[in-house]
Amino acid sequence: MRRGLWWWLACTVTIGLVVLVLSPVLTVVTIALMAACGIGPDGSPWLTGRDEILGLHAYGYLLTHYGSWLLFSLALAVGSVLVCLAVAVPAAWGLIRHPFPGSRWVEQAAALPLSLPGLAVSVGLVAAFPAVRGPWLVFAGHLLFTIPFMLRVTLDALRGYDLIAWERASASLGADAWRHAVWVVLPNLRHALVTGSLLVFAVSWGEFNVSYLLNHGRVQTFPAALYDTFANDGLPLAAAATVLFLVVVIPVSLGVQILGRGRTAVEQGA
Amino acid sequence: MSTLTVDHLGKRYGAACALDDVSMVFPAGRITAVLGPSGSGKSTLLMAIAGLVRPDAGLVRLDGTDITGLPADRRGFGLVQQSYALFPHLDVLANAAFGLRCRGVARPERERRSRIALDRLGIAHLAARGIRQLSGGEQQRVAIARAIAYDPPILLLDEPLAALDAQLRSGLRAELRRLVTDLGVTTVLVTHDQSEAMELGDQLAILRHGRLVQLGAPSAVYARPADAFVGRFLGAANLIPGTGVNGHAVDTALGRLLVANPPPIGACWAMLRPEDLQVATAADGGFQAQCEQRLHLGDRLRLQVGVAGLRLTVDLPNDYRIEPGESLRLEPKPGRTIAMPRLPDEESPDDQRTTAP
Amino acid sequence: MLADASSLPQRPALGLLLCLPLVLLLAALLMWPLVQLVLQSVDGGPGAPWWRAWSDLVSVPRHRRALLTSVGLSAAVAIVSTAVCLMPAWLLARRLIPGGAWLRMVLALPMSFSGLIVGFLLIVLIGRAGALPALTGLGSGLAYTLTGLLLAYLYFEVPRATLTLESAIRTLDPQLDVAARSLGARPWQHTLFVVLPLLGPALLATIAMTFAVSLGSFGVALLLSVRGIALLPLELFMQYMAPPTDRALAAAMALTLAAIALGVGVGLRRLVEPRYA
Repeated sequence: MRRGLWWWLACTVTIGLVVLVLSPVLTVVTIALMAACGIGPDGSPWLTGRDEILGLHAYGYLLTHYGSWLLFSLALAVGSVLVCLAVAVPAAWGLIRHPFPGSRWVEQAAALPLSLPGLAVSVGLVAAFPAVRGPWLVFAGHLLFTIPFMLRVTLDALRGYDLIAWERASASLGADAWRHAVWVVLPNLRHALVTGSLLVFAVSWGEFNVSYLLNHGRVQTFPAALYDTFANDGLPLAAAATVLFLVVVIPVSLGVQILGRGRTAVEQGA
Repeated sequence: MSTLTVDHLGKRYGAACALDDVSMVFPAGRITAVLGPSGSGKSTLLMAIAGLVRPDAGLVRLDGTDITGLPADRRGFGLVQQSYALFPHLDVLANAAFGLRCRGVARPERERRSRIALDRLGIAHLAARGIRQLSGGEQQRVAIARAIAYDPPILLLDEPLAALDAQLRSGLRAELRRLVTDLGVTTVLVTHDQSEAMELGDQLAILRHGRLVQLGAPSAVYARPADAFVGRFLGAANLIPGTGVNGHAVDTALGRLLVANPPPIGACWAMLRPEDLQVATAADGGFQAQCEQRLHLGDRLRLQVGVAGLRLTVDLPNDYRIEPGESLRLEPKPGRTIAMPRLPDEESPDDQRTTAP
Repeated sequence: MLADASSLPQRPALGLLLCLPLVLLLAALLMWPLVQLVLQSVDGGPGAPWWRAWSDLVSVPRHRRALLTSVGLSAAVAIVSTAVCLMPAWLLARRLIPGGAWLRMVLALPMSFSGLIVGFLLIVLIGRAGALPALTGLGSGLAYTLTGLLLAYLYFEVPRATLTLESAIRTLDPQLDVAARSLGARPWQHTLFVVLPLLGPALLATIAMTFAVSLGSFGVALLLSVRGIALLPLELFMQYMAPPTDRALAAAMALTLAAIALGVGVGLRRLVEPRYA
């Protein structure tokens, strides 16, 4: 393509996309900052009647009002990471190193939740387990959407290595299966596991479809708190809530990107 | 038939110099083999000719016209890459017709001409095959057919036979020569294989570290290499350190050797190829050497002999009888010894030094 | 990778054991609910035929419109986002732009934003009282139109589409570009004759993926919904929020969404496979 006409066109489109992606985020952060400082354009329609919650009070208000929801989301995210590590990583190892008849089907089934609309799955969960308490059902939904990510990332990493050659080397050097797993395999998987965990965390933290439907009325996840503020409260408050959300998500997302530099799209969560 | 010229071509990649003031003429209708070790700049030269690499300095001319600024897709040359780079989504015929398609030739016409090209390479029967089903040799032929289908003025071959096994290679070499002669297309062949270059090239260009070291007919370059590097690159060579003296002679540890060319006065090499030595005709002629190793190469006997702290390689007729440890008298065949300049940092190559006294 | 395992045992039983927790989770959380959905969708209610919910889905105008709009919108988003993201993906994969790592980070940012955030962000930008109208006087209320919805979905899809396409472009052999150029292909010919055919499967896969994601995206629809634009996920949501819940209809809707998303994915993949048999 070099520096011809097409290159300029591609760059223009790319820059357009960058603007599209960044401008709302920057706007929201700016609003939140402005609200926090109590300033705003004169006569601006942005400021509403809730003067008492402008400024840093907004964050205090959010934390007291929705604090438990924030903690719930964090707990869900951390829980998802732990379960994913415990379930998906051994499964990936089993699928690659000890395939059994039907392992292909297992792999495809595990990838299925990613192609299904989240809402449809939530409806299914509600239909199947009407008696289960809300929070656990939400957790189940989160697991369903995060496990495929961890599995895929781990599978891709494992596939990139010559596992048999490693085992032969370990065996010839006198390491038993356990030592081999802990001293050879896991360290090499470290990168994939960290990336996968961050990805799972980010997905769980931002998950809304499943959470909202399954837990209406009780303690909700933080994205649902966001929706609450969007729908009911003024813009500055909603902006502040968004900032809180972004403060968690952006570093995690950047972490995934930095770790995933040069790697496949799957490891970056596409 | 077109003549290709490069004038003072230069290309740097950062601190590394890929091409250093290379100038040469590629005569019309002939094959020029560009030979050199890896990193010598031969591929860069080819890419510069093709227009895929922009030289930092110098010109590329086609029949006198400066085409240096012309982009690759407008030069109309034929290029065969080492990896063949056949299009996996097209069958053999479509691959061969690709160049014609880009030139807007209508389908019936371009299929006709592609089939002719495939036929020249002997693979017309593979026209409908997918390229994944082809063997290495067949892929090679498709790549060549694709490059010649639109009758390019210049054909560029980048190590075309490197990926094939030895038997295929020798067969294809002969075919390639015949093909180029039939087409009369000016061909530049890049290779690191000296036997291939000698067999296919009408003209040999030796590159080293981006510089053109020697240019000439294969026999001439083989018999009169410009320096030690060229001498050793084109075949086995015995390099004997010595001092050049007036009168076409070099003083060496083996005695005074008569050389065919005027020697540089002072430090120089005397070069003798294994086939340039023979058993001494007179009983006290030549020099005494001890046989250290004996190899039967089928058509000849190759001996490693030690003399005066040097190890020499000698090729003798295959019916000669000698055992390792025995001595024999050897002398150079008349008129074969060549003198070459010796640089201060050039030493006797390791395989020519012997620990035997 | 697993070429000669003759000297090292492969134990299928161990593999199965390691996969057991995963399999159980999948069975309980995926298979069982799907089965339940199917059962519920055909339970039309007392005295009604089994196909009642399904026929309602297509016959009631509101539902039908929601279904068609959802599919149409998702298809449009899928095609537009794939086409648009092809360019940054190419620039990134071939390293034709400086600061590629930063570019990738920026474009991947919306990856973890749920549809909700995206909707909000766009309202902030181009809603009735958004930043753009306030600063430039244009685009007020744009967020609540079909265009705004399209933009929101596009925002959502940019990271996925870009990264997936970038991976695919990486697998293209650059030597083929060299060959094409040397054979005389102009840039447009190179794109049309070489790049697009080879990228075809990846393009279709990206379209299928973005289609599925848009179809199921709920947060965006929730926030930007406005009278006149009916979307199926929203309809489904309403069933639950506004009792009495028509369980069968909800199940039918959910299954339809799932089936379309899956069907498109599988269908597109089938379209491309035979050529590379």
